[in-house]
Amino acid sequence: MSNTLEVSNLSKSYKGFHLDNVSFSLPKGYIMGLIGSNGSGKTTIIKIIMNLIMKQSGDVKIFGKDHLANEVEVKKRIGFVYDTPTYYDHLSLTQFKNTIAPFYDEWDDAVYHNLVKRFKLPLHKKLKTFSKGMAMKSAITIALSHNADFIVMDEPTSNLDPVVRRELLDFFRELIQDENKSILFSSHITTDLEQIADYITYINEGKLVFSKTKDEIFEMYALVKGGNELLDTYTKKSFVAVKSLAYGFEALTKDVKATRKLFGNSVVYDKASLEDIMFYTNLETENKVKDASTGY
Amino acid sequence: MLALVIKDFRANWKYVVLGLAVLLTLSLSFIYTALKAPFAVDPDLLIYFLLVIVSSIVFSLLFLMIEQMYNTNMLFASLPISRKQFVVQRYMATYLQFVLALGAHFIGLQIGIYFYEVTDQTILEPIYNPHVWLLNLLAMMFINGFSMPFYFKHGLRKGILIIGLIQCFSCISFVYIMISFTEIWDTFQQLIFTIISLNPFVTIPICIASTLLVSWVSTQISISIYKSKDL
Repeated sequence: MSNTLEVSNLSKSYKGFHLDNVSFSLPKGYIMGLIGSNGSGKTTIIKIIMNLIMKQSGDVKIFGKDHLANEVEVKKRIGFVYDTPTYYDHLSLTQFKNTIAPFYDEWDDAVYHNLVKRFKLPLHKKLKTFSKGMAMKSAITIALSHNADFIVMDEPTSNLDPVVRRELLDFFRELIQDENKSILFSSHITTDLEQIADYITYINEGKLVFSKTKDEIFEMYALVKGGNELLDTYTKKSFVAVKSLAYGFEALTKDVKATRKLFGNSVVYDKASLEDIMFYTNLETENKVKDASTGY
Repeated sequence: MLALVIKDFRANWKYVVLGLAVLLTLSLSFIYTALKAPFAVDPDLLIYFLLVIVSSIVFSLLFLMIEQMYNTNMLFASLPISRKQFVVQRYMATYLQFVLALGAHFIGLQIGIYFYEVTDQTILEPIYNPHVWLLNLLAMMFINGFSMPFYFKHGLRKGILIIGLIQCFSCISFVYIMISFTEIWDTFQQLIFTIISLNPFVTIPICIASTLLVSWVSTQISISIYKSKDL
């Protein structure tokens, strides 16, 4: 199975932020969701992949080729969608298409018109009058009309209402039926990714927490609920993080087998959602920071 | 590359037409005003050609402002274009804008000359001298070559501020040196007159070559700045 995207040891520092040796890969024909809280580094990774910002170290290979040495060749096969579409909004969609299309040898007007029809986009209305949903659909239409093999989207559904989000997710699912296409899709709306992603890459405070198939993740993580009397320093250590409440505790484990060995049937095991995983991983990071500052 | 160079005109054609109309009107009104005062204020059209240079540069700045306004640098950086190509097209597009601006000025003058029936040869001579227009273009390219690296390094607003400050400082220093050291000023004047009196078939190629050199160096500096810039 060949990889559409290979990211190895990617690092980048800003004031107050450090992307730390992130590595992951996306096989051809799959959807990868890039998750993480705001400011975790998702957009930085996507911008590095698209050469909008410079990496400090590491390698990015797209279609097996270095993304900088083969920038033009690689970008011809990428469809990119920003979180907030950037374009000349005094133009109509047709005028905007006429500005962008000449950059692509593979531009396909038939695909463009199909997408326009599917998304019911007005061709001659000024882009600045478009709703957020229409603007995002226009950006996707433009990004996909050159038969891109790799679609990179930075939070494409974050500002959209549930109806438009659902419509777009269905569209992405259809798109991936073509096994030559791959999608990298960042979002903090984890439910979207639970629906459509095959792989999940989780970034927390610039560090890679995991990059695995969705099934592996849901097998690995579980929510554990039980009485507070079961918790002590030793048992707490078996969890990613624990939330103690008046009526009992709720915790996230990333080793269900070990937790079962420790607690047996005295606790309840629930499937952890991506949101639960993000929440408890953040809690773990916060606790580590707190412990470090108090000297524990 | 062609798609890149013409994208400004394709996407912003209304602004292009409006800008060129303003330049044309500017030259037209200059002729009208100048006729009333029989060119007493600007007999050699020096002020006029200074106006041509400044207004044409402002016209080209319009496109950078639109780019900044819509943040289209980000959009074009995501297209199949290398950063080097992006920088080179910015220079090429600017030169094309200069040529269009000079064209608009020239047409404005022609309309003025036609309607106000200007026949005075002292006025018509510089207007119909292609060397004068070429030197205007070269002067604009020279200024552009000096300014562009600041634009790529600092963006439009900060870039213009820095260039403005440098130019102000240079002008004040120049005037101060010339006033304080009259012998330098005399030598400088003499040098200018010597250059002018030389055969234009020698001076023009020298001017073209030096402007192209400045543009090339400027392009290389801009490429190296933009290649490592975070957008």
